Amino acid sequence: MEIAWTIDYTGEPIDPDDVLGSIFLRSTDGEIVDTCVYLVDWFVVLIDGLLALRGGESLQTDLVSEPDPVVFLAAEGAAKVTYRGVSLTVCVSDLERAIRDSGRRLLDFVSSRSRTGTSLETWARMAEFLGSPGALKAE
Amino acid sequence: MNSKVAQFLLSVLLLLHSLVASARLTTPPLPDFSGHDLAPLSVADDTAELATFGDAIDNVVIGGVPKGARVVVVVFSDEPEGGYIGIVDRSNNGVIWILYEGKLPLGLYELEVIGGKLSARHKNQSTWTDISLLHGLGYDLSSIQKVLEHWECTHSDLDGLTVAAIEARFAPINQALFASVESDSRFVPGDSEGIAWLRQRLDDRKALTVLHPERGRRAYGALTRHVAGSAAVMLTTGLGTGTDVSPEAAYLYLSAPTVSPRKAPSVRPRTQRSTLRTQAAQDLSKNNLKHLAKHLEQFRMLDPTMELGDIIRLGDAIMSDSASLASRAGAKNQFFQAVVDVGGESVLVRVVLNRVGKMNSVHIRPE
Repeated sequence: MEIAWTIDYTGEPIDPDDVLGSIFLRSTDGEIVDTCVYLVDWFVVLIDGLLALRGGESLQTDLVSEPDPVVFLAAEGAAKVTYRGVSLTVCVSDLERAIRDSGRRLLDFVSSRSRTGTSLETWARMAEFLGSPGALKAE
Repeated sequence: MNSKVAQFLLSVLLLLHSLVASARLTTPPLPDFSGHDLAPLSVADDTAELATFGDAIDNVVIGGVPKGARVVVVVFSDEPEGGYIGIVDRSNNGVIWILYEGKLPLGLYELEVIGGKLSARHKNQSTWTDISLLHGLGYDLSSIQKVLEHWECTHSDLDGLTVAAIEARFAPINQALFASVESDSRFVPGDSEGIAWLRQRLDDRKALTVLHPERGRRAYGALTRHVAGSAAVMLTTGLGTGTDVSPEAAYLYLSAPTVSPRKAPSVRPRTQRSTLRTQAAQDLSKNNLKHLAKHLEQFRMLDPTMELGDIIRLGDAIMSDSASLASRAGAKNQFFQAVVDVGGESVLVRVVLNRVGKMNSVHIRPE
């Protein structure tokens, strides 16, 4: 399981409230790609989904800024993440590692490149998750 | 004595030769870039970006060279502001698009990181030219260096061809590719419309540019870039013969976000063009506008005359009614929802605000 992201270039300094880019979720059986999205929305959804899966629950989540939901389906052995008709089979622990690795890089990038630098309220939930492994409950 | 010296020199030469030969044979294995910030950039599929960077696409020259089975394809434009470099990253089955600042003549270049700067050298020249990466692209020079360290860029039989020439050369391959994509389950059923659109556009470029010159030219530029990239990938990977990059994978990776009815440019002649810009629009960042534009096609499927300004005005109207507030208290993003008439159809439209109250998304909710 791998999660990658890219930042869309607009010529403006990075605004931490509206970091736009593409996200790539790759698993052995496919890839979910969403372009021109607010990356924080995706990571919040991934965190919510992960927490549900950890508890053995399935979850359909709202990306807020996108019309289509992300569905996390809990199952024995491996879970499924589905978006716009593409389903990925994921191991929950791999999903968590990927969220933490990729999320940390994104948060570091936004912190270091944003115009305001420290104004990362939009990213608070993600920062909390990354700072508190295993301690967070689903909202 | 002279004979012993000659014998000694010969043995030294033989030793050196064998050392060089063994060095050639011990090329380092292809590194695994997964986990690095090397995912391809999405600048190339954005028509707004192409307004600045894509106009000279017809003159872009592609070159690429495999070193062993590995491939680098470099694409430069000769625009004064800068251009694109495409590096095929086989570990990701895709292309890393790098946007650079600076002026380079058309041609194939070697890339090196010299003195902490990215430099390019024309294949027929000995001097290196510094080029700068535009800021805010999500990865750094060291990541690019990791790619360059493992590939070598010299010229190939694609060198010197324009995009138009490459198109002609790869037309049969592209046709076959589209046929395979049509049956690919990774495309949602509705995307057959997008494939048909793509095929038609490739076959009938004039119609597109005549009906809507500006939009057509830019959209075609994006399309050409993707298709040319796919073709280059296919050529250099031997069309899937014993390689791990299938044409389908290359095509899907490069084109899937573009080949969609929602991304397809409208070629409908317009009777009037909306230039509406509200107060809200003036306050919106480029990112906000770009994201709003992403969902514009949703509205255009119901009303082809809609423009970005119309979407913003609709969002303003929905936000002005506090009864439309639909997000729960304390939510990260506030959003409003209302059923409105678009093209004679009642649809549920959501308007999302960011943390500081700027409109960052307006889209139609699924039924």
